[in-house]
Amino acid sequence: MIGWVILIFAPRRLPYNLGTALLSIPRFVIPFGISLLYAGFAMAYFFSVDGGGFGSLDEVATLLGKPEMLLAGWVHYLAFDLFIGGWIAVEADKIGLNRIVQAPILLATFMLGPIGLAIFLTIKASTLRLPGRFYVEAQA
Amino acid sequence: MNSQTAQPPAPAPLSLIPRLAPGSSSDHMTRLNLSLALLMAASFLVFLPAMIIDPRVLDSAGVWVKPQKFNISLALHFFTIAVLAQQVPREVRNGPTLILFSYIGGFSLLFEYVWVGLQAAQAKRSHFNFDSEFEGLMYLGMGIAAVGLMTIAISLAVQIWRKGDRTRFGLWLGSIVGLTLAFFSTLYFGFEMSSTSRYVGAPLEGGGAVVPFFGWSREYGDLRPAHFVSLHLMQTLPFAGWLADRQSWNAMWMVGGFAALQLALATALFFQAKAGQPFWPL
Repeated sequence: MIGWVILIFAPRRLPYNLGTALLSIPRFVIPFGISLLYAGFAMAYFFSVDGGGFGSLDEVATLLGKPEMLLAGWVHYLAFDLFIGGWIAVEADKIGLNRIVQAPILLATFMLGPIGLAIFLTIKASTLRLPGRFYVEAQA
Repeated sequence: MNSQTAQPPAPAPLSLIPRLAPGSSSDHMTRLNLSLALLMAASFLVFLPAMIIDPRVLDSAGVWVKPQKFNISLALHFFTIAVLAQQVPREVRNGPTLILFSYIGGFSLLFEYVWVGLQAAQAKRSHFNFDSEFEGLMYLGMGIAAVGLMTIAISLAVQIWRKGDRTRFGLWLGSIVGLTLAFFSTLYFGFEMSSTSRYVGAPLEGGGAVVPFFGWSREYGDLRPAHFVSLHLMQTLPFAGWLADRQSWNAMWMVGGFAALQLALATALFFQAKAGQPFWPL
């Protein structure tokens, strides 16, 4: 939660590189911490579930039927979504995407991960340099 | 921005294609409006799978049709604003007026985007919804935000009128007239629509046979075609003026003629709908 608040609301340009330092909390510190938590649960419980695995939908359902693995799965989302959110924030700044447009994309990444990612990837794709004549005209 | 990628000073003063790119020399107002346009365009693409998969229907249209119409039309709206704004000097685009109204438009857009999407996901109405006090209040908010979306158009018209590049007279005139007429006529049609219903003679649940995607009724009066035609004055008139410049035609006549025609069409559609008639009967 704190990570997302920093990503969405915190200023990115502060004196003495404080902005970068602040941004490294959601980008690296929190995902690393949550990843360790995931590692603990997954490594402790993965093989304790009979018939659980990643081979089929049924196996996954069985695996996540165990609350500890379900928690691990949720923690997995949290870690990866936040890391992706951090990547989006940095890339969005690079292409000059306004913060009020970043906010709903980051919120979507937080709540519904891939939707936010897909929206951002589409926006980013549209800023790729166009080859040939069109690009020259656009520059002129 | 590191110094290696420092750009030479922008060469030609008047490119009509604004860009959002690393090291781009574009200004705050253009970037904001382009960002908003891109968010809408990207959302249109990302909402497509849900539109295909989701079987739920609300008021005789798929639940995602309404958000998709918002996405596509607001992408066009903010892209138009970004393009037309290139006629005023950079200082004006970096100035307080256009930035303020762009943010009003931006926050209005986010408010509409989130609520329309959220209600669609639950197969509920975002507009004309009085099921709860909160939803009624949000409908009022939708109306205020719709005005907020349009204020950038009228403020840009004023800025172009005062500080725009008059050497491209047709484009200058078309932009001013288009943005202004679109602002006032759309506000009026929108207000009429919100105080009655989109239909004349049919319940909100559906107007029978419809035009594909647009969803305009072919059996009853429908106020939305007039709204559509009037709103797009802000694209057609600048284009008519631009074309006149290019072809050395009389810009006054081109812009004036198209304005009169399109406004007459919108008005005719409006009164036809008010009389309960579909514009394209079965």
